[in-house]
Amino acid sequence: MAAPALEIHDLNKSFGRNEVLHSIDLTVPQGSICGFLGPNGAGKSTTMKIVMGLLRPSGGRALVFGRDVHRDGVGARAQVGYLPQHTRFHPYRNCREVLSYVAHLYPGRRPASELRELIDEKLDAVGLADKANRRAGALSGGEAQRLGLAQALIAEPALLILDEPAASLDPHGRQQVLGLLDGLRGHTTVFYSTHILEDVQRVSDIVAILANGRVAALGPIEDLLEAPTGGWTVRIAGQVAAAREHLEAQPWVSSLTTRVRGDQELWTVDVTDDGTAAELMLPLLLSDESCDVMEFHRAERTLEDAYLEVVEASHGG
Amino acid sequence: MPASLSRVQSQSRLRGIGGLTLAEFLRWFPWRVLVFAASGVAVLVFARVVWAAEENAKLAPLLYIFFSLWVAVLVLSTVATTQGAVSSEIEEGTAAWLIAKPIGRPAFVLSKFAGAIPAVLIGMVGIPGAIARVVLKRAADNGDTDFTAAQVMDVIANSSSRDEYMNLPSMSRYLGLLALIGTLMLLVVAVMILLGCVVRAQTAVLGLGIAAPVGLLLVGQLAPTAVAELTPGWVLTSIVDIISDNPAPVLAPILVTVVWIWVTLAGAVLLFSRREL
Amino acid sequence: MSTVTAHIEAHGQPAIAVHGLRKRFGRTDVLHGIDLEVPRNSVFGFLGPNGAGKSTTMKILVGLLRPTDGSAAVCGLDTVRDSVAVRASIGYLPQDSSYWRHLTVRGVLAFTARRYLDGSRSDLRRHVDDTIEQAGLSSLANRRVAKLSGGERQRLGVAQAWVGRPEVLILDEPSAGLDPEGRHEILELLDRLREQATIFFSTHILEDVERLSDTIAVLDRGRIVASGPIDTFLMGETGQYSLTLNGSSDGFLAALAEAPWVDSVEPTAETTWNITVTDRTAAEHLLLRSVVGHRDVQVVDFRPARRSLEEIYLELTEATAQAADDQAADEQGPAVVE
Repeated sequence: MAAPALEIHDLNKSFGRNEVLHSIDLTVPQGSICGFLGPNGAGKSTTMKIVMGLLRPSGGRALVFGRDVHRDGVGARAQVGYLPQHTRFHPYRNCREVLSYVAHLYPGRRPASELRELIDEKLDAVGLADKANRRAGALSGGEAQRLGLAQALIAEPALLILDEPAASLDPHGRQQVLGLLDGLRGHTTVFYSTHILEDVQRVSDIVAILANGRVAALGPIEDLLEAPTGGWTVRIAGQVAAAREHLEAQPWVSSLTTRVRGDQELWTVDVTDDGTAAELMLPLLLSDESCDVMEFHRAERTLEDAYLEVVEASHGG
Repeated sequence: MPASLSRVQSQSRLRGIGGLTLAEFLRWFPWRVLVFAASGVAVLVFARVVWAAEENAKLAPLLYIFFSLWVAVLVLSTVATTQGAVSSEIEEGTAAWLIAKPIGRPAFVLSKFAGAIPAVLIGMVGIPGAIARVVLKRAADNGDTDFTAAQVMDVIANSSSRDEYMNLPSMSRYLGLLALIGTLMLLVVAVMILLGCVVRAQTAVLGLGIAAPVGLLLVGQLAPTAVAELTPGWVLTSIVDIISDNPAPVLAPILVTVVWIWVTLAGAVLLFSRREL
Repeated sequence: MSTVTAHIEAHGQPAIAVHGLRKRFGRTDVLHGIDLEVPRNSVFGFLGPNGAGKSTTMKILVGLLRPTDGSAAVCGLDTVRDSVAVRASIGYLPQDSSYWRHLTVRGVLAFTARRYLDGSRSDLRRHVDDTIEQAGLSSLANRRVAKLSGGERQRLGVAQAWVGRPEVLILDEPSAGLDPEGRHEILELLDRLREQATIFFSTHILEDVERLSDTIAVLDRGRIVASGPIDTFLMGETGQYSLTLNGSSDGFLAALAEAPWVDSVEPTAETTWNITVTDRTAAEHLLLRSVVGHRDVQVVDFRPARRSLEEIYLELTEATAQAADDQAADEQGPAVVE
């Protein structure tokens, strides 16, 4: 079997006395898209920087397609495109020059015409085609972010390591970046960090959650979302106070939390007996003519629920 | 909102000036003021050493060296300290934070000045001026002095001339001198606030701030007297005259400068009220 | 729209009313005469691409920028004429918030509180402490602003906007740059404040809007391209519902299809049907009640078939981009085809 795109074994990193990574293990199979999550300061950027050879591990090792990033750094990095969290370019170079410069840093010469085509293609892919001749120093935050992505893609590497690629982009930009990543599925491995869980849910195959310097969860998203919450969601409008009291008084209701949404309320109803709830709750609510039920279903687990649970558990442990 | 609290009702354009002035005042006290006082004393010691190195030292050169150096140091350090008073608050976004609160824009500008007044008058001019008076008086009286730490005392003791000295300016003349210097510093503060309201870049504020007093000096020295006496340059001329032991007016130049300070502040208020943040 | 009108009737003047607002920087028009009405006690999501003019609009409301033309009013007061009074009723979180770095968290809040509120020292102090706790800043109360992380600073930002207990909160990207916990905490905090204030906030994360807002507006290139209650957005005036049933439902479904407010009933999965209705009010009141009337069927899942806000947003902003391009092409005269 082919070596995984990224393999991290027992990786440690300390800054002085501050231990940022405590022995993390992580494997990203070839061709997958892996979302790398975790609170601020959990060590996501540190992990990425170690893989890129920007930081030295205190212990353990990291392999890119089987090559040790420490012993064969150049060989490993030749296969990786990297977007750091804060990208900086030589301000006097224009977008095209930045990309051509980066392309020349990778092995394998390309004829000029081919390189030109490649640059145009990447600029187009990140939505900078009309700014190709603009100086990097004159780009807005979102545009610089796009150029950063383009320079990570320019050598068409087999592995992309992207530190918050969608940060500081508006919904269009985010959608474009996600579409781009989605299009790479299968032939390029993507390992990217983000704070926007909805994005992860949309494009990732696997998720790694780093909390407190440890990998708190790793696996396909479906596994994380599987556990049922055991509650019901009700959206209700009208004169709801009496209905709420009535429902709370039922022996099979263990708790009811309310959120106001305009002139409606959104309830999460935890029950002790799901069968009884499924059978009785709706008729009970509807028997009150002064309110209408707009939505009624089992509470769904979002990636946010799963994430918060995992991170909280790791703080406790 | 708890019942014990009520909403502030005033809608005056000066609303919030009290709190802002206090906050500004607290930025000066105690550290900046201590640094200013210490630099005044350092200039005094320096002047004393320079003076002592001369043969036949007389008191007049000591007065001259100390005050001219001191005024230069005061102006430059005031410019350096106040250059960001408005411009850095705009640049860093704290001005936007404040102006989004129920605070009148004039209150923001004027508080910068009001908060600086006590620090300038007491810390920058008053304290070093008082210390200088004691030291100069001791020197004038041939006195060995126990004014400061051993080394300073040594310098003063070894260098005091016993044969000749001039009389110090009388107390009222000395106070007049300090008042002139204080007024000049307040003008510098006002000019820096005005510049902060006009110019965007902080370094430009700094440069213009340094250029302004030099310009004043030139006006005071070169312009026809009738014109010079309508400008704050008159204050500088008076300062130079007093420390050179020549007769000079005190009250009139101060009044002229106070008018200029108000004009400057009014300009700053007007410009800031149209400034987009 | 009916919800908005009802709100205004119930609560008097809207919290924010903007009419024909224009803003020009040099030769660039940033806002081309926008109209906007934010009902009291609503949570209003303000959306739009980068550079659409969201921050500019907010800055005009708090008096940091002057309108070039048109007017803006907060709680019935004009933002230019009654600037101080307007700001007394607003708590504002700027996009890149900064505070005097030498102050502590408590210092910032105490200073801010005194700009809005009068009272004895101890009452004000207690009020500030309450706000600190409400915003989850207790452990940071004595930390200097300069030492706060991005997420902590953002929470301080919301706290300083709220500490004066304003009627209107104007928050420019309150959850930007936060990690998921930080974002979760801010959204929970805003959710708790919604009963006590009108919240007008901008964001790039459409999921936050979907979760929190009652009403939204989309700004694109200085024009409002859509606004209204979020339900109307996501469902349209006519509605579609998805219904999953347990039990023998044939008889019931046949009866349902006959109802005058039902347009069609189509199966989408083995036990799930898509029901299109012509009258949402009737459907909301009658649809589920008609199921409950049947003893042999049970509702497992019922929800409006909403589109995602992102889908709608992208459609709206892309449509105007297209229109703008067309217009630009028209203005340039006949297009030259190469």
